[in-house]
Amino acid sequence: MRISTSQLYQQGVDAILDRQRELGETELQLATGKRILRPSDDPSATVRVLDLKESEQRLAQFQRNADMAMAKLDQEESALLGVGNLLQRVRELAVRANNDTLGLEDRRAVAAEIRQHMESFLQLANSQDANGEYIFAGFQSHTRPLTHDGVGGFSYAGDTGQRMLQIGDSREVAINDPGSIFMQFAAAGGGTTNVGEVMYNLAVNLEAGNGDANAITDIDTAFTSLFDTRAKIGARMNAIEDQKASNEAFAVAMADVRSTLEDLDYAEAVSRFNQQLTALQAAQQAFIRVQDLSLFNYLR
Amino acid sequence: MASIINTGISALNAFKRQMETTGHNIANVNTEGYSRQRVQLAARAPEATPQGHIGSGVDVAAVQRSYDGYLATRVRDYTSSYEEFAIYEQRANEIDNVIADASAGIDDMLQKFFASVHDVADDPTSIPARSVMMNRATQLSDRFQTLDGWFSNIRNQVGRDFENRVNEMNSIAQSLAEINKRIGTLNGTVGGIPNDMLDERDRLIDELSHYTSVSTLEQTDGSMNVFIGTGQALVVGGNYNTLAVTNNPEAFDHKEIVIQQAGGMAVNVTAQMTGGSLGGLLRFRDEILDTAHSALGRVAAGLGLFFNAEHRTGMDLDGELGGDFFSVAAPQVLSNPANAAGSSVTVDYDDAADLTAHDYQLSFDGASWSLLDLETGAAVAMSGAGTVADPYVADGVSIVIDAAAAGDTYRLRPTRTGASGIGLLVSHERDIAAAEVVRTGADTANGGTGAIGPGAMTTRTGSTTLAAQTPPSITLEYQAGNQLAITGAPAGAQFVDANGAPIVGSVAFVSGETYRVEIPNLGVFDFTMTGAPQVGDAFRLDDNAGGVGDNRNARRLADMQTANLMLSGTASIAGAYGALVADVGTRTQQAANNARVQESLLTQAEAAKSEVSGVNLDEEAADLVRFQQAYQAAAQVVSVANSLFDSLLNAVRR
Repeated sequence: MRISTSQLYQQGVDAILDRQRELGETELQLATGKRILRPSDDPSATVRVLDLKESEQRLAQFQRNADMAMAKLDQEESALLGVGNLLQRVRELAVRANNDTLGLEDRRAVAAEIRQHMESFLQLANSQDANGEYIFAGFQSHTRPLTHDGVGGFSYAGDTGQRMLQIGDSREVAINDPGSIFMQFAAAGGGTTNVGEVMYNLAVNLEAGNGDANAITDIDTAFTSLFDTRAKIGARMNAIEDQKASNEAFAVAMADVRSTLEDLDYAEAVSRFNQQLTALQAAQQAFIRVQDLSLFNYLR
Repeated sequence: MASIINTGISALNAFKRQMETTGHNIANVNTEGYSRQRVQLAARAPEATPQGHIGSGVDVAAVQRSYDGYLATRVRDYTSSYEEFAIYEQRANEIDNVIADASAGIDDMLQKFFASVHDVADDPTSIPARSVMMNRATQLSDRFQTLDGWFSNIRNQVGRDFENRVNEMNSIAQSLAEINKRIGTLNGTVGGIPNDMLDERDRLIDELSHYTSVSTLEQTDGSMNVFIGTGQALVVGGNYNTLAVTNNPEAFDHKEIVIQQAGGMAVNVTAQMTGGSLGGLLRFRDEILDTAHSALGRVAAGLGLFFNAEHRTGMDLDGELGGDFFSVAAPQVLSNPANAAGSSVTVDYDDAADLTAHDYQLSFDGASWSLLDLETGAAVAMSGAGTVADPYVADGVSIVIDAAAAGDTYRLRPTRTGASGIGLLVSHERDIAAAEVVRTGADTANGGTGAIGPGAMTTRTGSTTLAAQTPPSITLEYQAGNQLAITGAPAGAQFVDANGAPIVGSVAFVSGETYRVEIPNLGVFDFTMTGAPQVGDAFRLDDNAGGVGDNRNARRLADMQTANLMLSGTASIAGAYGALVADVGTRTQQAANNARVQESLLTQAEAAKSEVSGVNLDEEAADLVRFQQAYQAAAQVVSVANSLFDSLLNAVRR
């Protein structure tokens, strides 16, 4: 077979250019640390990577939501703890005041303390978060939920709405409880009563020098309701912790998969790079040697 | 004696010609399209003598070029295929490189946008969170618009590439016709047709094969007819046709190739322009650019339409119904300039899930309308009657015929302007509708364990502001016989089934069942009921006035990130974008693979052709030595003849 001079030259140049192109590609891979430099390198893996990135971003968002939910529940729990503590104190006072040996002055002193606790209760029930939202108002978070008309009438202006935050792909958690948990439970003396009213009535009875036989039972009922709510909050917090751990594990697994899809195997790439470098040098040397050969060199 | 000299001189002349030709070969070693030439020698007719025939020297029979028409055609065919895939790959790479890039593609910004929606759901009363969501929406819209502008720029560039190539092809056609004419006149004359002229013609045809597929037909007078694409005559003898780039009469940004034939007729040959870089660019434009552009528009339009629909079912911080969140461009309708005066159609989106990235042709034959999918070439069935009350509906768009005459045609590009038309419409943070309009609740006096879920408005029918309406105050009472009965305001509130048909009276209570209540002038509210209520237990659907802490609609908006809303319910919004990335990636990959294959086929074909036609300097050097030696020998013959003559002269001299 004949080979023309220009073809011989072109072949040599093409070989060098091809080697350079391969080398350039590997160099770019090494520089970016990515196996896939553009979608056409591996279209299906590219789309998988896009999906994984989205899932990772969503997991990060779920973690953010979970932290937010945790902070809200923390605040709610500490408010409820405060209400529990003061109810505990009021119960002790009620036990003491029901003791017949207490005089009117002493009963009034006890009543004064109870009124203080009632105010504290109102403050706690009307707690606001950092954004100024009332945490016990349901959806009506800009409406002061619990009001006292000064004469024993306590009313709730919120609703029963619960804000849910998504903390997992199919997991959501309530981050508030409506102030209705302080309202309307069965009174020992028949009918219904509420936390504020129990304290108010106790105080009023003591101020009049009377005992209040129902107060302790009612406070215990209120306790039960609060314990219920706090148990729910605890369960939610546990669920959030669980979900966070599972999200984290999931995120790590996904980052792993994404890495195998798009990241470069450096050991393989470096050896490939060396191989290609050698090939390029060989092509260059072969070109020079071949171009050097010409019969004309011998025609003197 | 004279015959020896003549023989010697004929040899000197012949070997000089051979050396001249060798020199010509060496001189043209780098000339593109040059075919190695060889001097054909033939022994002169011998002198007849009684003793036999005595040879009388050598003649130059012909100077031939080493050329194989089959090999040349093969090179042209592979050149056309290679150029087609190479330019396709090169242009596709531009798009391929950008669409999955985090700083230029859509997916990254889409994620950030939905993350900001989540943040609003986390904290619906926070103005900063709402502000971030608006910024993200603006950034996302900007990203769509930037990509859209970039696609348009590429389209303009491709249009200019068409022009440049068509100009080149015209100039080649003119040169070919010129050469044909000269060959026609030289044919049959002394010396015939110069080899170098044939080489030049072949080189021009080779060059033409870079732009399009070429086939040739040699005529008896030696001229060459040249056909391009799938067989359009470009050069016939000494005449040639002119190609031109024109705008599609309906779609001005859609360039087409026409061939101007004798008599001024312009024939659209866009579909016939296959192969070569022109064919590759046309395919790139149709398969990647237009499709990707419309697919991007589909993502934008889908996002806008679905997000708006959900946003409109919510309530903002001021207790008003949500409006459209994004602006969405109407589907593009291009009317044919030949349409009757006054004809018009109105096209709108129907169900964004059914949208395609195709172009359509809508045409009226005087009796009925038909819709043709220009990508698949298939007719698309339309439902409806084309009226405002009952529009034609097909592939996610609704079409209302305003006025028509037979022969009217329109080109529809439902999603082409989607990406350029998207923008943030909400102008104030408080206008983001994070809350639901209706809230649910159970009566505190209920004795059973029945519970009502938070619920959501799924379809909005009302258009007036909430303040102008009767606020919902609906009671659902659990009655004997396991029935739920509905009472309350506004009048006409009723249970409906999944299709929206009213259910008269009460409905059976089933724990876990989702119920649907239609609230006049507001919309359809869905909620789930669970547990076991007691007779007399009541549940309520109330006006959510003041419900600023409600994040139900924001969460539904955030959930749209993963919902399979697009591509007939098979892909999320990001998934629809991923499909575009995958499509471009796969096509680019295919083009790259094809280009590599064609490149190696081309290299082989060129080697085969060069094996016959190429100049090898070593070979020429050897020839040079050979011819030089022969020349020296012939000179020796003349010298011998000369000395013979001298000897004779001396012998007879006195």
